[in-house]
Amino acid sequence: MRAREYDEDRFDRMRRIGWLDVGRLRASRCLVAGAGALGNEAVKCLALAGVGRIDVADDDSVAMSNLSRCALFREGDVGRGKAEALASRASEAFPWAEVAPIESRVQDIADWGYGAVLGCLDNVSARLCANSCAACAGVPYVDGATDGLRGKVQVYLPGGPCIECAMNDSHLRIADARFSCAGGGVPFAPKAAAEITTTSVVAAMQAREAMKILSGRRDLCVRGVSYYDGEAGTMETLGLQISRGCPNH
Amino acid sequence: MPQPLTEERDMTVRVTIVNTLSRSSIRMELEPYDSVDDIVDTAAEYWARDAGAYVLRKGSRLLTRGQRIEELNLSDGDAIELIPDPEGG
Repeated sequence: MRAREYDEDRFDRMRRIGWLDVGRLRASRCLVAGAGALGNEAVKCLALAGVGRIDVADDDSVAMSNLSRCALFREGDVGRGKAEALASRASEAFPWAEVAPIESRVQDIADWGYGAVLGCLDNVSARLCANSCAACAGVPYVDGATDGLRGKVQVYLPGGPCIECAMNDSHLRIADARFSCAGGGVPFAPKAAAEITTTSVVAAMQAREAMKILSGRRDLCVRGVSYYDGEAGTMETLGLQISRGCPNH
Repeated sequence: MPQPLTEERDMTVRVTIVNTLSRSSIRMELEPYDSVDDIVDTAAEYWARDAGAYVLRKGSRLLTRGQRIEELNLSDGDAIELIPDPEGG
C-alpha cells in the first residue's frame, strides 16, 4: 500500500492504536449528558474518534458567555437549545457521525440503552440521577467535572464503585446548586471561573475512557477518581472503594 | 486475689487536616465513632469555606461516606487532605 492510500482512510491513525477498535466505535451508540463546555469537547472527541451515534441531552439554551469554552457553538446559536445547537453544529463538522439532540434534562431520559454515557453535567443532583440510571441499566458511566483550573474524571463500571460512592453529606447539601458556565436560567453563580484548557483536559480523558469501553477494553479503564490540577500541571488518581450504604450497590 | 489492672487504651487519634487550596492545616482530635462526614463538616466550617462539596484524601485513597475513624487505621500524626470537589461542567 502506498502512503497516499494510508491517508485516504480517515481513521488510519486510530487503527494503529492497539487496543482501539474502530469498527466497534463506528457501531457504538453513546449519550453525552450535558451540552455545555464539557459536552462540546466530549462530542468533538467522540465524533473525531469515529463513534457512530452520539445523543446529546440538555434542556438549557446557549448564552453568549458560553462561547469562550464551547468549541462548536457560534454567535448565531445564542438563544437556541444547547442540545439542538450542538447536535446540528457537530453534524456539520463531522458528517460521518450521527449526532442527535435530546432536549430534556438527564432526569427525564427513559432510554438508557447506550454503550457508554458521559456525564458533562453541572450539578450534583443530575450526576446522581445519571449515575443511578446507568447503574440500574448496567451501562458504564464516565463522569467529568471542572472548577476553574481543577477538574476530575471518574469511570463507573457495573459492579465497581460508582459516582455516589465518592460523595458525602457535603455533596448532598449542594445537590441542586448548579455550577454552570451558562448565564440564562442558572440560579446559582459559578464557584470559580471556568476556562477552556481544563475543560479540554477533562473532556478528552472522558472521551478516551469511553473509547476504551466502546472498544471492549474495560480492563484498561482508570480505576478510582482522577484529579487534575491545571495550576500545578498534575493528574493523580485516588483509589476508591464501594461505599457502605450506597443505594446503587 | 487482686486482678491485674487493665491497660486503658486512649482511642483518640490526633491527625492533621490539610487544606489543599491554601496549604494551611489544623490539628484535629478524632474519636472512634467520628465519621468522614464529621471531619469534612468540621474542617470546612473551620476554614469558612463556601458552600460546596469536599472530599477527604488519606495517602492514595479517597475516604468514603459513612466510614468511621476506627475503620480507617489512622495513627497519631497522620495527615488527611481536604479537597474541594469540582462540580462544574
